Amino acid sequence: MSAPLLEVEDLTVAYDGAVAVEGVGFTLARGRTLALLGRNGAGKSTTLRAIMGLVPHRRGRLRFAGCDLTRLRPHEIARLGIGYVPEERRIFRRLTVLENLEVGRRPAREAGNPWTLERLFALFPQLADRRHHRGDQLSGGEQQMLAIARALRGHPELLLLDEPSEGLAPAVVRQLLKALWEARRSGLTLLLSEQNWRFARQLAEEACVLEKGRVRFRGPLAELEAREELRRAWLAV
Amino acid sequence: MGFYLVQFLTGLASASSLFLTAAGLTLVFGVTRIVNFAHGTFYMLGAYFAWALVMALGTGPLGYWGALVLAALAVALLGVLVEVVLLRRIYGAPEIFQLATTFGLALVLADGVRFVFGPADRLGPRPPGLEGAVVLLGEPIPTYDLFLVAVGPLVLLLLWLLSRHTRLGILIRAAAEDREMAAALGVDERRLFTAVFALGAFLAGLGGALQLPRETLHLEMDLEVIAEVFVVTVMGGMGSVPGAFLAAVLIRELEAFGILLLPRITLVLAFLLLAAVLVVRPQGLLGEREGEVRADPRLLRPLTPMTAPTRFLVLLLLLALALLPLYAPPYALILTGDIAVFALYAASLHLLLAPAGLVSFGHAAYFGLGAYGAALAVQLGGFATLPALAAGLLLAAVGALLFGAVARRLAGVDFAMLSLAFAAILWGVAVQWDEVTGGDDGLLGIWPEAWLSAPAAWYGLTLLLVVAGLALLRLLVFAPFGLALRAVRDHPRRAATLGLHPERQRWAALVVAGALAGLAGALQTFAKGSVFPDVLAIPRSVEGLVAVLLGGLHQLGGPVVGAAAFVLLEDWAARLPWWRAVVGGTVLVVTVLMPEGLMGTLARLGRPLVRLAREGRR
Repeated sequence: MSAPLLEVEDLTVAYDGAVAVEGVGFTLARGRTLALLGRNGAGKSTTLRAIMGLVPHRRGRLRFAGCDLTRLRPHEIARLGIGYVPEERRIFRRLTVLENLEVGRRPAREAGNPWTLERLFALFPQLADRRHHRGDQLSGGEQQMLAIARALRGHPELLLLDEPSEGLAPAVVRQLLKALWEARRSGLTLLLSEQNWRFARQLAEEACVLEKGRVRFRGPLAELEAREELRRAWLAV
Repeated sequence: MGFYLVQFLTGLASASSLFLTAAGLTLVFGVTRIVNFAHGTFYMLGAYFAWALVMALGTGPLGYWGALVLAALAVALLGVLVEVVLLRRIYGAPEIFQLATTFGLALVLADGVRFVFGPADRLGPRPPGLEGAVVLLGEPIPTYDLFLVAVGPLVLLLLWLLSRHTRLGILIRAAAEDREMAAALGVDERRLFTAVFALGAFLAGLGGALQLPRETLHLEMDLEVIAEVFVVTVMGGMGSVPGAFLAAVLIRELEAFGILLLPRITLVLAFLLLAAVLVVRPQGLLGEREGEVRADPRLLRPLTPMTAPTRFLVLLLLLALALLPLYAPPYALILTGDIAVFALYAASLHLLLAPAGLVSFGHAAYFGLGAYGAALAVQLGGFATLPALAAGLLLAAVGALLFGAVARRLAGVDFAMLSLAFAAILWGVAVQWDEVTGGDDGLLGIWPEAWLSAPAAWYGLTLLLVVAGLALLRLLVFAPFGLALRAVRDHPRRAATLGLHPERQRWAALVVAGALAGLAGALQTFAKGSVFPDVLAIPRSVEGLVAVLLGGLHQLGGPVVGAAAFVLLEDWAARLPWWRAVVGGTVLVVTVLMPEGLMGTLARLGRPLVRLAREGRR
């Protein structure tokens, strides 16, 4: 197997002395999908934010496509080919859909199939109809689609998704799943954080369970699927 | 009819340059969240550069118009330098530091202009092609004014096109809304900030350059324009360029017509208009409503009571000060008295800055009201010294009460800018209303009565009142009043659910701080025997801020230590020709390199010693 696309090793992050993530490590191969699972406050979002360089980490090694991320600033990390869909979507509320997509636009890479506006609108047809609407006029589901489309507009190799299914109606969640399957078919690697086991199991092949900032389980998602007592201990709501 | 039309157009013409300058400030604020105090200096530099370039390039059409544009570009270039060298270090700092840093920069740059161009006023030549006047309905109006009337809307249109139809504009708006998200999408914040800052400086420079044929250039242009620009940006809504245009036009029209009715109080009219706007729309005419404004968490450190050894040292110091007349020369008494007055002023400001979390940029308003209140009580009312001091205190308290009526709903940057504007307007009243205030000549010959006139006697009274004032402030901070104030600062909504009233709590703090600052001002009037408008001027407000930051924001003793250090520094620097640059440079060093202030730095350096001592004892 070739070198992994993302390597996280011994990641430790603290906010004002309170340790949020300690010694977290996992690897993610190109084209695979890994779900970071765990309850509220387990350290899932912090892990994603640390990868993006949005919070400084106290210890650990982060490598993406052979590149050390440790000293890079968020925009440099994004330009290496990591797309970020944050918690609560954080679309630009005063910008239109098209303008939101423009902020995410980066020059296309030589290899692969670039995410043109047509391709994104084919993936999320609702956005095409609302392209001139301001961000704060969109529904929660549309905002989530826009947040994903905006990240894809930079043609990332790896997409970080922070609780994409949170607070969305089941029909919208199904639509998001379809879109993410489609994106993955074109070679995209996904790292998602989820509390929602039923959403995660339809998307991910690998799992990493966090509790109180530490890794409790790492392995194929199927193994977690088979062992209900593990899920009950770490994921039950 | 023709007269009113010309008056209207003149108002529009003078709104243009104000709008350009305010648009620059509001754009920079929108993206970087920095209120750039040195923005007025960029305006002044634009005017001076334009003058110098016209002199060099000649007054032909190409030389003249080329000079104006080149001047603005030169200011933009300077802006890039300032942004890269200085501002990048303070983007993460609390806003009070950002304001103080850019003020220090303004002082340094102002002395730079004085050094290069000298103190003499300069008059720019008329623009080629637009020298004459046009007659409209029987009334003449300068052709250049008509040109300016067109410039404002044209720049507004260009800025609108930039923000809607260019990638740069879209990125600027995205970063203004959520900087972190923009960075996570690959937007290079640093380059964007530099670009925006250059654009803002360019607009200020152009605003200044365009005034060349209309205004005599002088060295106080920077402070004059910044107060007006603050009023315009707050009225229009922070970050809103069309809002700035609307507000600039409203204010200039109000002045153009107000001057016909009430020539003395045009500045006051502008402030009243602003007050009315903020009552209806706290976010300004076209501003977007922000969420709950809370104080910067880094300012929220708990204040600790004195330890026993500190208390002993303070008592010892008080004793030494009380006995000072027995062993010190008269000059030392005067200097120590100055320090005491300034310490009370700084400590009253500290009540707003730290426990109340209100960044006041116009604390001189209360100091000046106290100073004038005492002087007028003597001159008009024939008051004795002690009642006159009380009158000064009272007038300042009333001023704080009135300002609080408008400003209590505001917090953060809006409060800071509005407080500065309030002080600037009082300054304007003191200068313009010369029948009562003596204008620039001030009020003279206000000395204490005979029994207080000996230096030692006056020193004793000053020390007594200042110590009483400082003790009161200290008691208040640890009393339920102070606890409630800090609760309201840390979390207004949560404090409200506990039955506290955030607006009223802030308002009360403002009145207390105003009253004590007024007492300090009143004391100074008698110490100097006179009062001049500079007690109300912007530098006085900022001196208080600098004293607090210099001493340290997180200790109650900070303002006192800072005041002592500042008065001594000024006493020394006043003998230098470039004292502004020295003081401004000190501000830069303190705010950028030692944000903990003298007390905080001492405490940090002292901590290992304390630990060693403790371990030794064990």
